Amino acid sequence: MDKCIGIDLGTTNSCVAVVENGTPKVIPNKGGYKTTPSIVAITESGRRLVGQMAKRQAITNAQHTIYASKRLIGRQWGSSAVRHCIETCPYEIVPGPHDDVRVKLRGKEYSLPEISSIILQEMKLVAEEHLGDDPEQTVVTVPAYFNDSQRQATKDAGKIAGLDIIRIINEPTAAALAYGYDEDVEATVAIYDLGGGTFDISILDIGHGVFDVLSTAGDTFLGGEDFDARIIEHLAYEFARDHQIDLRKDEMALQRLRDAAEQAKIELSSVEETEISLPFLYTQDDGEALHLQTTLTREKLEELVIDLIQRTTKICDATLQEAGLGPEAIDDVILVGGMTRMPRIQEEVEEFFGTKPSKKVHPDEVVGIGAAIQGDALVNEDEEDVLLLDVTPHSLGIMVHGGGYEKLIKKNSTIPTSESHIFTTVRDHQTSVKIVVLQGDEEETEDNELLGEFVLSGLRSASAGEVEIEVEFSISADGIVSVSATDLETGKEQSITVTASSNLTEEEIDRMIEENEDYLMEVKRSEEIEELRTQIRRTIREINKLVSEVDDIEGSNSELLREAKERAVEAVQTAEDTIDDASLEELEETDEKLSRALEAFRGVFQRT
Amino acid sequence: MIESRLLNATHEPLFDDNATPTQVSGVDIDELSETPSPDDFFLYSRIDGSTTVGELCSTSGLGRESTLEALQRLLEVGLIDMPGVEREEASSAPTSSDATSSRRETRRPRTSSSGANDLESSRRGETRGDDEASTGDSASNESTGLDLSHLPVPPSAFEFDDRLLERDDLPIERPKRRELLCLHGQLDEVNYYQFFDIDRDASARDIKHAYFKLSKRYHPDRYFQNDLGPFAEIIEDVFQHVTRGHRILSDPEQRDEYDAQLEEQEIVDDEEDVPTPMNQPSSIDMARKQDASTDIGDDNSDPDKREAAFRVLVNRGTQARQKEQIVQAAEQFRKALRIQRDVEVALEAADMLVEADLRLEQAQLFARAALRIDDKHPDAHLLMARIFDKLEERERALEHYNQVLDIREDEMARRRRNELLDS
Repeated sequence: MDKCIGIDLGTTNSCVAVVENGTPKVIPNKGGYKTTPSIVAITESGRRLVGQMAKRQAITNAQHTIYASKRLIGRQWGSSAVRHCIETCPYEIVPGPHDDVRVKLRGKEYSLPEISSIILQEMKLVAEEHLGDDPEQTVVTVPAYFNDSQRQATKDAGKIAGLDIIRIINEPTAAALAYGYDEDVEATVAIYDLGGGTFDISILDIGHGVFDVLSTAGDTFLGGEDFDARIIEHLAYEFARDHQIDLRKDEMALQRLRDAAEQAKIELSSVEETEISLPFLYTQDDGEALHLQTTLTREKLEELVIDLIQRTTKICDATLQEAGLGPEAIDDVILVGGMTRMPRIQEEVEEFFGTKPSKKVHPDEVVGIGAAIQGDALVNEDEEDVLLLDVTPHSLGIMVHGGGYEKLIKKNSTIPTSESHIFTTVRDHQTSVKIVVLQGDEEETEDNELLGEFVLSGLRSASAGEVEIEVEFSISADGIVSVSATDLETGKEQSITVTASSNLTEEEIDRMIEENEDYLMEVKRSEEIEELRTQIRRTIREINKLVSEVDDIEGSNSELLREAKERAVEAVQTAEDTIDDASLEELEETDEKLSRALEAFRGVFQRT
Repeated sequence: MIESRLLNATHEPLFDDNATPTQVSGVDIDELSETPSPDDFFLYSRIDGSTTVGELCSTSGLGRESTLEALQRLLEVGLIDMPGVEREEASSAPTSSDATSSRRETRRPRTSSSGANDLESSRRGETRGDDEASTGDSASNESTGLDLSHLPVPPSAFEFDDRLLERDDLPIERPKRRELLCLHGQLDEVNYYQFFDIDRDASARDIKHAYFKLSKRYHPDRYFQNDLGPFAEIIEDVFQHVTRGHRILSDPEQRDEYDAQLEEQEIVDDEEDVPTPMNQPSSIDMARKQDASTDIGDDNSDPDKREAAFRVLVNRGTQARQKEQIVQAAEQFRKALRIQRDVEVALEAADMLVEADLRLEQAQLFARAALRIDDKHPDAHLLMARIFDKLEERERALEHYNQVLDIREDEMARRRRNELLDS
């Protein structure tokens, strides 16, 4: 049985799972937690921190701690999403060389795939410790609404982390897999996934182990973070009203506000009101410290975020319409993501679909589990397996004369799929056409994403409309888009495989892989050094202990013993002097010398 | 259908070992087309609706092979039912001279019946589905292959490319390869109902079930990370056909439209008998496929597939004609022409019917089809003339004799024309 792990690379938390003996399960991390915060930090000494460790130091190291990096991955510099992050994030966001986004930590620029790779690597490590083996193949989930470059960037992250991502699947689909696995479920279900950063809704038909996505939609900028932001704004506003001070301008204060907001939001899912107490939040110019002390009620919170919740149900409505269904056609609603614990959200969802959401799955673990199920189904061919019929979340087409956008593959088409269409030349004596490949569903052509372009040349010179060119789009089961254009007269063909620009070049990825490996080597080395130091210190303690024992037995000290003791003490002295700055090799030498001295000392001592 | 199964028998096991045969109640044993042997009846007595084929084989005392053969006979005469295998209803009825067409008719009630029959058939469909689910449908089918005998060209009549079947470097089992090749070879000829093996009035649920079943069989993910060689494209084509069919049939509006097209097509078929193929790919598709084939020379590309299917049908027609099974032969030619227009075949078919003095209306359709391809074909006009002559439509016969003489000198035509003019 090949092992393939599933990783839910979340905006706020990540989770890794695997199917063992037919049972999917989440693998807990070293701390025993089933999810790991998707937070990466670089310490002053250049060390990377991931997960809980990174989260814990976030307040004191806000500038060099990256959270919610998923919101930036695969984005274009200058997009509204990026602008929004620049405004709200304490870490430094800078433009990359390909119009992409980088973050600057301790003077070094990191691409977003690199940041994600650090998280993936951590999850890989968690799996490795559990499996006792290197998990080579992985299925990673992304929000359904991720476009091609975001998906590609996620794949790049896997590459940098040394993971073979065999498939990227949509989070809600993964959730459905977990929901319907191992049981003969036959139902039409809605997956309502409100996570830390994104909102996704998918409608699926499940039956006989087949999971058929009917439609899927979402908003990559709607999630728990936005709820937190509302609370932060509210708190900052109250504070500004009382003290005429904008807390958001103070990084330390903002970080504390953020933590308090998240805490309060979570608490308000189970209680009606909560105290927010942030003593010594701000120090005024005159040295006087200001505290934030307030109460937040569930009602107030709901008032602050109700429009966000309504945005989700609006998307649900549109998605249902696309699937050609009414809310009553939904047999079950599955809630995914920590945000769905909020009572008001459950109420709104229940009201919209007219059915109580299912409690069958765990909102934090279900996506990772689904990814593991899909991975297992892919690598182990078994007739009884589940089969996921995924769809393409965005329409695909080409730009036509006059700047229009002609869609060839409609969104929500089951993949693999292909469509073709005949186009004609628009000018007399036109001998080449430029095929501009677009992705998206926006009305305005320019609002859609440019996936690539190529030129078909050598057409017969003829009047406009006479030469026919057939354009064929296909999407493989792996979601790879290829486009070909054929001159129907000559059979001449041009095609491209659209490797959506993840904004990183092959060389950059290779360099990042190398850097990552170097870093890991460095980490390994420093771990070895640390281990040696501990070992050396242990030997020093033993020698010292022996010395005091020898000193206790006064008078009976032979010449031999005294010499051995002196040699050992000397070795201890040298070791203590060099231990902090020595290289690995020097430490090894020291360790050996010390051990020998101890052995000799002990040998002589025991004989006397 | 039974013929095809028997033909299959030399290649692969007939039944799923986990299938559970049941006795058919109310069969008049005296009316059976063939009298089963005592061994068959012994086996029949063991069939209780809960014993599987595998268990029967090991407990009947007849040996595996004889048991399977006996089961085959019992099924053939209509004494038992086998899930996954359709029972031939016509076999216990007195065989008519027109066996082929009556057989085809037996499928019709399934597709267009109403009232009580409808319920019956859908109920049967459901229990069948359940049986499959409980016996591990797909797993067991893997060894025997899916029953494709409902296709226009069933596996038994399909000309398989042995190179593709024999290659031993591919992870697909042979029955599955046969299945894929057979389906792929006639994607353009089968309508989606045939493709899904469902009734014309199938419910949304039936469609979904069929869709799920086929998806599970033909999704490329089944062979994830395996090199499928030439089958990679085949399986992807077949799967895309599954999704396309589902997209149309699951959308009420598109389905109505499609049904209307199908009906129109059938009326045209019946009237003219030389229809364009069902689901005829648009000229765009054809152009693309032709392009692809000239480019890559792939012998699985559509024109070649079509050519292969056409040849199979023509061969069958010719063979039937040699055995003087004129009606069957005509039927095969008709099917062949449905796939590909061909003057010679149309003329051969018309000539055959005229010679046999059988089904002159159909002969007329064949001759007319030839004329539609080449309206100056003297043989076609001659045939038309002879047909009208036989039908005693002298005016029209005369017209065609004149046409023949306009094109070439023909002694027989001149003589007959003069005779007609004289009278």
